[in-house]
Amino acid sequence: MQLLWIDYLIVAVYFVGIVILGLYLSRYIKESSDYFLAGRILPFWAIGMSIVVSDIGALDMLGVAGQGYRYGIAVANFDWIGSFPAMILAAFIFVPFYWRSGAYTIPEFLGRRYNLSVRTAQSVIWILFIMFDLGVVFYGLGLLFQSLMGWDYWTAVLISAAVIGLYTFTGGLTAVVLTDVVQLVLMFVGGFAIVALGLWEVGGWNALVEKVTALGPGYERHFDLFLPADTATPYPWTGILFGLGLVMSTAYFVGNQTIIQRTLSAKNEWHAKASMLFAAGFKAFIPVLVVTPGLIALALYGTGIEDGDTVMPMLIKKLLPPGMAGLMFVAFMAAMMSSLDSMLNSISTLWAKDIYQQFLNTQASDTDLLRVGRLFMLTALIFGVATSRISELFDGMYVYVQTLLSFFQGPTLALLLLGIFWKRCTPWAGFWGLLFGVATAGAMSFFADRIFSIEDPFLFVSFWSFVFTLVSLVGVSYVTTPKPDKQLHGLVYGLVMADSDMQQALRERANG
Amino acid sequence: MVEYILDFRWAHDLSLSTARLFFMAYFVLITIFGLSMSKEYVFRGAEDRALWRDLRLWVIVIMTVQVSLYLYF
Repeated sequence: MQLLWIDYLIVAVYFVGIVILGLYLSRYIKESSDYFLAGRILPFWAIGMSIVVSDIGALDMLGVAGQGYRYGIAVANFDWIGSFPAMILAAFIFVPFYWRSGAYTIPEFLGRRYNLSVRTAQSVIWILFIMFDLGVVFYGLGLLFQSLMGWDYWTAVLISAAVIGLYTFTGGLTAVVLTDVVQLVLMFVGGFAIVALGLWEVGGWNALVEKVTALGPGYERHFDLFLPADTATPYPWTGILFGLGLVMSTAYFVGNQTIIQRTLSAKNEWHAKASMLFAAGFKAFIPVLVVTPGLIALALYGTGIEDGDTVMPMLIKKLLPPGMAGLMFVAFMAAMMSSLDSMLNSISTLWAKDIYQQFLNTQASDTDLLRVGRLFMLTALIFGVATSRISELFDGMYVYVQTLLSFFQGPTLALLLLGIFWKRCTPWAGFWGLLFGVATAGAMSFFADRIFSIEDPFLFVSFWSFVFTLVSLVGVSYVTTPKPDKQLHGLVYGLVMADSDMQQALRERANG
Repeated sequence: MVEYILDFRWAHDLSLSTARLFFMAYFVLITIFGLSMSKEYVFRGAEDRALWRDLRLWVIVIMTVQVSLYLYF
């Protein structure tokens, strides 16, 4: 792609602007709560936009376009049924609970409800997942630079890591959320530009439908959200409804640290709830930005593209005139950087609060937590960069990450659900239920060929691991000792709901 | 038998129209859930009680979009 000076100028202004914003916001970081939870002063619109942009990063821009190319609009289910209902449940049930409890992390909340073992297991799982995910996203970023700008892979990754590291290290969650707001605007402008130009090239929406469905019998359902239950693709309607709609999406929006951490930074309970619903509004447009390009590529290039993850870079090269490349490039950079900064901020919080403060330095001061969180953020950044090339070994990054997520999303949702709604659920049931659920998911994935008839059955694995975890939680709860009511105040539905009462109960328990 | 349940093979004979009904029922349930929240709970923490801050209205907008998309596609 031929780049003009204006393209380089746009990229340079973006990088410098983001760094300056991050550095400016660092003046507000006085204690660990400022760094990890933005001092709990953020409004709903900033949090909502940050949730959206954190959710659609490199994986969506590259991976979902590829999935749209292969399987059609059924992939849009991930942003529609896979978001709206779950976000409503999160807004009205889970987010107010977390916000009132004053917790920094989901594992911390689970630790209070169950025990330290559950908290540690959850933290370790999340830290490992984010560590791995960082490499995947950096790989996508390097791929994009290489493909679009012709830059050397490692130069691109190292420059991006330096910029992201700088503003995340100095500005904490405030910098992450506010840069996310800028990044969302850029992503939407760039994303809609590519879709508009693509549709223009194809001849409009009707022409797109005609061209794709004319490709043959395998493409007749590319514009159907509902695929038959016996489809060979990973997206039969049964998997979408039970696996995605009921379990995976709910688990994602109520149990994902990078998402929930933003709502915990809200200035009050209304803003915490509203942020989730505000984000849901934006989610309606995401498939337009990430799935439509896959369909456009199908109409323009036919069925010959082997690696779906290359669809988006190919479209950008083909469709964008010289001079617009810089803007588009910045849009994709924004998508990737917003995912990376969110992950880095979350992983530093998990390490500082759930591992360092619990095991390595139980008397850690606030300054210690701030310092350790920042240092671990840097460690994770270096690890992500160093391991980014591993993603090269796997085709279809998105499906791979979803498969990993499905191992513990179902069990985590079961723990949260019974933990909040059933006071008889015991601490050890939480621990063994989590282990059993993750083990069940792993076993089902290992023997997937024998059990399931669809390709990549992560939706089914997620649903059944949730069900099995629920059963094991109930079973173990009846043979182990529950916590007394006093220790559950503020953590279980029906046992103190008002903020002041909850805070008082938590303080009393913390003081013994 | 295990595969019949785990692989949802019992649903293989159901039509896509039936599937659409299942989806719509789920959306209706979620909407009812959102609308069933008390005024007190919905506005808790809000700076004022302006109409636009009523989160139940937000639920109606969101779920209307959702149902429209699933009816169209």
